[in-house]
Amino acid sequence: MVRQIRLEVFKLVRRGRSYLGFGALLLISGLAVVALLFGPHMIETSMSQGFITAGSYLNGGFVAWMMLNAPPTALFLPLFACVVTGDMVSGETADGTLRTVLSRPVGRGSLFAAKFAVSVIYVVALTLFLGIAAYGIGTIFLGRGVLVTFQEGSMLGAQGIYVYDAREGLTRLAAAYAFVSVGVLSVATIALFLSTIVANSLGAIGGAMLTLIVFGILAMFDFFKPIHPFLFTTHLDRWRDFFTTPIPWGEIRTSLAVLFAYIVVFLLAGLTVFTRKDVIS
Amino acid sequence: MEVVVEASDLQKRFGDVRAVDGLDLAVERGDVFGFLGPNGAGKSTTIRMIMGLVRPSAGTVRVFGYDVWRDRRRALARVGALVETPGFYRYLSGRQNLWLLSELSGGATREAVDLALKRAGLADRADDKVKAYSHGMRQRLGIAQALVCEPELVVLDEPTDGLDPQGMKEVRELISGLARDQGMTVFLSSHLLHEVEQVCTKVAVIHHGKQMGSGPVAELLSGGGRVQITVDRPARAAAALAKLDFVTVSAVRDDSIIAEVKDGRTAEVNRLLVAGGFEVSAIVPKRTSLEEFYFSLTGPEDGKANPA
Repeated sequence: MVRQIRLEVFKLVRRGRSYLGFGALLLISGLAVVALLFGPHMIETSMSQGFITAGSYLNGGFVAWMMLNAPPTALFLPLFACVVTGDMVSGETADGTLRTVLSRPVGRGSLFAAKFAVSVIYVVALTLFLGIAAYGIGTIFLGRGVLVTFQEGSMLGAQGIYVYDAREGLTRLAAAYAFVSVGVLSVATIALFLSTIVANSLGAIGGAMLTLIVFGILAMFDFFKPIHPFLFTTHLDRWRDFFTTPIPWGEIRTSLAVLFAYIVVFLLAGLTVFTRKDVIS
Repeated sequence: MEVVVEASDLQKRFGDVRAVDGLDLAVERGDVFGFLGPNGAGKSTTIRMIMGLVRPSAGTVRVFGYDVWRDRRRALARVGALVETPGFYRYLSGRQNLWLLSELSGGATREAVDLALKRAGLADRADDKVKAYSHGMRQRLGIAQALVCEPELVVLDEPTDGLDPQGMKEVRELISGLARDQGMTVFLSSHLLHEVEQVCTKVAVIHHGKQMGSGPVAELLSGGGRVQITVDRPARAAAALAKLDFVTVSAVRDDSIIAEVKDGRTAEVNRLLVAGGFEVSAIVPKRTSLEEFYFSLTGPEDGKANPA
């Protein structure tokens, strides 16, 4: 099992596609810092309407928090994760490498488990990379300082703000990013499951992203309110609670339980399909 | 003799299609076993079931005594395989692919990887990415990955596909050498009848998912007691021979007769013909070609294998 994980990691790091997400997230973080450096007026104008501020709150911590809020991140982070996990089985089925690998004395269950383990490593690395890149670039160009976050409204129409000293802000950011990685993993696991039943990776990636979008749409309508607690998309934004005081640990635990339930269900479904699958391509 | 691959009442259905229908096979240690059949006969499906890639609908496949589907690790521990066109990680080099695949079989030394690459004629291109390889090079890499861990059983599905004539000759020699020099058992699926005839010690012919015939090549092609008798007035000679209970005339040609002579009594046939006033020029054992054997089982229309 350890050997198989090592081999899956070897394949991952040798493949150009694995770095696509890292590159794109680095670019997005850089662009965010450029926007704050050369045009912070909108946020400052918004802040000055309700608050009197002194000093600079546009810093590395703020950029890292802002990146979690950015709509492109909410879409791209799961997308880039799915690009890799959705290809894990379907890509190898399409190019015949799964046939070559499964002609070896390797257990199907342990091979799938290794692929999931590498998916976890990749998702966590990708998510934390976003945080580190945003915090790092932001700190280099904007400096460090207190972490100011907006609550109960959009960034440009905040209803309230929370201010944390640099150390506490960093801790809360780390916790929020860790939570986000669980959310992204839930989508990535759906892609991994789909990759066991479709013949090409586009189907698996598209299917997982479609699930994300459809669940997101369901969450917008009150008609579907009874099922909202069971949609994983309802819980993806729970990271915001790490920036309130006190932190509502009960809600966070509930959300984590739902997200892990999705991960476990789709992992087991994928395992079941993979261990029974006829490799006929 | 130890049975290395044993299929028993093996069946595979894809929907309403019976790809393999009650197949029985027994490959013994040291055999070079040829597996023949036209396209769509069920060869690839059978090989996939032997390799645990496809689950049988009924029946069992045992490799080294282990059920492949239930105990695939132990069943495949001593097996190397090339299943159809080999799939490789295109973004890795040939050497990296071999290393990675050998790790899945427990690992191979660097020397073993180098040797496998050399044997496949890829030593000079070992560090090039596979995406730069031609079809023939990938095929040779496929053979190399099947042999890199020095298995006891090698399963090769169309191993010469895509190779030039020189490459095909080298692979045939390699396969013969595997059994002769290294004691490996080889299970070879091929469309090329003369290839199978040259390298295999046993064959089985499959058609419409069913086994049509099998046995040692030498026995199948010996022709039994078939002889070609070159004689004057062959029609009259044939009529004379037809009266004998140990001779069955199967064909009469312009200058000869094809007949089956039981119990090796060809000398007696010669004596009787000469005594009857016929001039016998030659009596030669008539060897059946694998092509004749193959088409006798599959029929000329269906059995579209390549005799070349």
